[in-house]
Amino acid sequence: MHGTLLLINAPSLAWIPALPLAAFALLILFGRRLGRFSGWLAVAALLGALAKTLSIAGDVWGGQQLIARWAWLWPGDAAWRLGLSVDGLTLVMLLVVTGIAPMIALYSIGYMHDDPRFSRYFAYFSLFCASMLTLVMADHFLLLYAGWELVGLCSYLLISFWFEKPAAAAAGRKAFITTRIGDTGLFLGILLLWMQGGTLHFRGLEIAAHQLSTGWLTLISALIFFGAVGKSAQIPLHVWLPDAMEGPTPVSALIHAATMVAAGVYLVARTAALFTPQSLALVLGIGLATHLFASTVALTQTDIKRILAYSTLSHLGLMMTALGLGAVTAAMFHLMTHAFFKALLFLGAGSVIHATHQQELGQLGGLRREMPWTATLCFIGALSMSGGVFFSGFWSKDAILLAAREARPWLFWTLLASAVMTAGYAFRLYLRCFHGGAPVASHAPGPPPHAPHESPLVMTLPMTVLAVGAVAAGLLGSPWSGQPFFRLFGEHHLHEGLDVPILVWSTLVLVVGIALAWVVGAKRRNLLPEGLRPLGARLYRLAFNKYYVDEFYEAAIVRPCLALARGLQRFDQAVIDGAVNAIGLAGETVSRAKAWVDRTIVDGAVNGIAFLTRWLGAQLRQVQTGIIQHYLLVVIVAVVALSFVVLR
Amino acid sequence: MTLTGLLACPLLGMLIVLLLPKTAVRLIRLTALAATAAAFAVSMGLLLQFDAASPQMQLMQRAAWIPQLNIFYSVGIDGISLPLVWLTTLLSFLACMGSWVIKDRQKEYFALYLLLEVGMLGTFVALDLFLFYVFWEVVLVPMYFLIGIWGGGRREYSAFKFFVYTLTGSLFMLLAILTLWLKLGTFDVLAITRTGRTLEVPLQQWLFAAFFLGFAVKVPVVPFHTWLPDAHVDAPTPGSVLLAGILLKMGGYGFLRMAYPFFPEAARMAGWVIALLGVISIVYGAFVALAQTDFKKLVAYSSVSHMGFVLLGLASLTKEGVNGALFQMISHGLISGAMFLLVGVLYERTHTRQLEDFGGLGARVPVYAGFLIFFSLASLGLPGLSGFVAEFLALLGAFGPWRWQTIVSTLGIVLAAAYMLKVIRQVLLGPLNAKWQTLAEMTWWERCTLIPLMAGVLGLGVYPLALLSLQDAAVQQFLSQVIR
Repeated sequence: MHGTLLLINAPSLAWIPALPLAAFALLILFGRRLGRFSGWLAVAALLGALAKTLSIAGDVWGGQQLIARWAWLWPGDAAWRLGLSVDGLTLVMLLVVTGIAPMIALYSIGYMHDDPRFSRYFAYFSLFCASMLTLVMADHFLLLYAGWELVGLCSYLLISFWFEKPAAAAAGRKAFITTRIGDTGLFLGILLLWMQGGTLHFRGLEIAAHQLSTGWLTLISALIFFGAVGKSAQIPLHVWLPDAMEGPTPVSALIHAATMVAAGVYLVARTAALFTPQSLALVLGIGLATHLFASTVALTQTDIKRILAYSTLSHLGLMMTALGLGAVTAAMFHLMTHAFFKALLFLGAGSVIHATHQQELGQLGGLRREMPWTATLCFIGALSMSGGVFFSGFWSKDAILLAAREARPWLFWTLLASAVMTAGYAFRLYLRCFHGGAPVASHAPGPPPHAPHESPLVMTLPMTVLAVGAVAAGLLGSPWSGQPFFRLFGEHHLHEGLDVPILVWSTLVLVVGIALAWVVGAKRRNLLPEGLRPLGARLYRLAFNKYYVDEFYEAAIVRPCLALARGLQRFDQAVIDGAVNAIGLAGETVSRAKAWVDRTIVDGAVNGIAFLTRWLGAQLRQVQTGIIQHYLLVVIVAVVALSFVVLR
Repeated sequence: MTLTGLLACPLLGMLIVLLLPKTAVRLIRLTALAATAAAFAVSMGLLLQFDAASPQMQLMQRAAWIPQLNIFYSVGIDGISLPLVWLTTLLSFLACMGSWVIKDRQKEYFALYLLLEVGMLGTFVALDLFLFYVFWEVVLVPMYFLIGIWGGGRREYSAFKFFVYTLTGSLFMLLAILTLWLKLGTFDVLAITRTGRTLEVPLQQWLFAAFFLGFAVKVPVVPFHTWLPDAHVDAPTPGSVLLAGILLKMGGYGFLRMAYPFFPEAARMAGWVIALLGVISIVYGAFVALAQTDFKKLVAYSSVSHMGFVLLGLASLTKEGVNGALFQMISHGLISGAMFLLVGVLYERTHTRQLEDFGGLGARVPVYAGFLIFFSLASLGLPGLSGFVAEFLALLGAFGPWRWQTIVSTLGIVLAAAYMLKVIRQVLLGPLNAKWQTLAEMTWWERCTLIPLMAGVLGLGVYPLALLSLQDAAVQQFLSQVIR
């Protein structure tokens, strides 16, 4: 950061998340009455947040850091004063979120126009923005965690937005639980940092990092990174993101491409001070693995949103790779440009889905005739994503390639090779949607094919704005403009001028990728020699089935967990409750036995004595006859008997 | 605003209800509602009178009761009991509104209900062990009848099990109380807090164990928990609300007020057992909750899991952990109370509690869906809602002394997401089950029972300082008594 950092107290920062939050409150309470107005309310709130962001941008660019804090847990305990703060890193995220979100909200007004839960959609949308803004503005781990969980919640609510579809309901739940597993890592990281480092304020991280041993730092940073792995859908927690495509497409654009999934990258950048060489190696390894893995899967998918989802995974992997190299600024730069071109591509896909009600490549084709504007914008998006020269994606990818070349040459070549795949799937998607003939008559059941049409202005206008970003946002980090983006992050030893070898290589790679997309992707020609075809087919199936990761998790984790739950439930019933009931039963049996003993023996003894007495009495009564001769007889017999006894 | 006045509100209400004719149902209900409302008002007044900065017992009242045995009527509150008193009066009032669903023998019902409130409040304010024990047992009787008469399912079995189980636990406590009396010659809680530590350690341990058993059954701690799902499921809705919302807290309160401060040495020695039982309750309860197919039973087992955090926080003996334990008691009271009200709303309309019988209700009853989602999220510990603060504090406190236990406990957080989202999915999401095409939306009366709870959960989650500043002084004093 800049040498002298000015800390300015600015409670008005709270307006940035508060405006969308207020929109959420209004929409959730009075949404039905607001009706069509709901969408405009959300757009207005977001534009307000954008205006506030722009009003402070100059100060932050000038090297100030704005801050506002409030007591939260205990009064007068500085460690738990939570607050918002804006520095260069946050400013970038703020600009990305408040810049893109209003566009996507505007687009959604068109996309969701006949949805019965129109206002509910914008309520969730606004809540998401408020949470995301809190996340990026938080100056304390706990507040970041709160935003982190809340964006996850909104993601869940919006993925399951069309909850009547069982697939959507399941996808939302999967996303929430999978990311929560990652969040647990982050949570433990926070606890450990508090125990060992004694601070959770981001401003104190560097001091804490100096005090902690490498072992603790590695552990803490690895745990924090695990949270990022969940949110940014890195291997091994990537499985939720492709399923998240069940949500409305604008949601995929905002949450699952531009902002929320990038939060993991932001988190690592924010806590970079804690990362050690060991944990950076972990970041690099996981990022690179995700990058390559997802690129291969993206090449084989046929659902246009899933292609984009895997492409997002792959780009997030690329950002993580850059972070692993220590190139924080390059990673954040790519985060920004990616937000523009990927949001654009998703909105383009949404435009296609809106027009045709199809999202399978097999059912699409030749749409550039009916939807020329969408086609053009998608072309721009695809070109920017593939690193077309002087587009936004070019500058940011270059920055990462440069960092890779300096640090590890093999990585440079690996990333170049994977760039072929990027161009390949981007143009496979573009060509098969917009070029070629119209699809053969659909076999799919359902309504008759829709006559495609260009989308309304409320949808194409935001796309156009994003396209401008996809073309030009990269200029902020280009040598032509003096790289203000890098200066914002305090990097001063910058590369002068254009790096020509990288320019040549990337262009070459782009051309190869597009050519392959044309020949293999669009024309469906198998270029493999005869002998390799079975292997190729097998690899293709492997990638097409996403390497069977979902199936593996289902068998290795989900089912055992559910089985354990059922097993414990039976244990609870049979053993624990069984023991309780057995004790109860034993008690009852004992009391029954006692009752029997009581009745038959104790009471029996009493009764028995009474009975005996009565019986004896009855017997004796017979003796007492009242006839004098009998008494005399008894006396005589007794005397005789006694005299025998005595005299003997 | 005295504590005696607080106890008098429901007691007078009960007497009036008993004097009213059986057929005056309206009047009976209104009397009960007025009595619980008055108690709530008094508790709000107490909140204003209370000096949060002082850790001492406040608003104490003392009168000789059985002087020959040194038994006093002695009551008082501090930062530990006041939040629980407030929770009790709030939930009693709301559950009284929820008692409109009771359709027969209202006179007996409301009389017992008010007696129950007297017992619960008395438990939290009594400062004489004999008095405490009386209130503790007074709670059992009305609850037994509430379950046994107005319950459903196997209500006789459940009521009996609840009664005998809790009574067995409290018998151990009674023995310990009598031993204390023989040794120290007093039933005074504050006096025993000062002198209990002078007892020789083995005796302390026995006494601690006896108190522990009595309270552990109430909390409940695995493996003493199996009365809970039965009692919760078969109790009528207001009964479940009070059972989960208040009765479970009596156990936790007992730890904080008696078991720990009386026998600090024994408590410290038992720390690992309590932490371990806490973890087992958290994880085991969560797993078993996940396997449930009955809505109410699932919520009941989730209570076992959530109450485990109380134990874990307590065992930490740190400022964060104990504050977290207390916070969790209040938070769980609000959340579980609301969950049982929500289960009741659905059961009233559908007469089933099987999760798979529902489906797609989100489209049919959006307001109900909103409430259910809100409280499910609170239950699974979403930041911004009270459950998160409580569990965060408990884990933060426990992480130092009980590192592995804490790490395992976080599994409970993941599982909480799994079972609460299972509820949301099975009840609200998916295609609408044709059986419930005409299901009615929540009435305003029902909404009014939930809105205060919602406000509490949200308020404590966003601004926990409000509660923490109330309880912190007392918690600090508690720690100084136990750790020393």
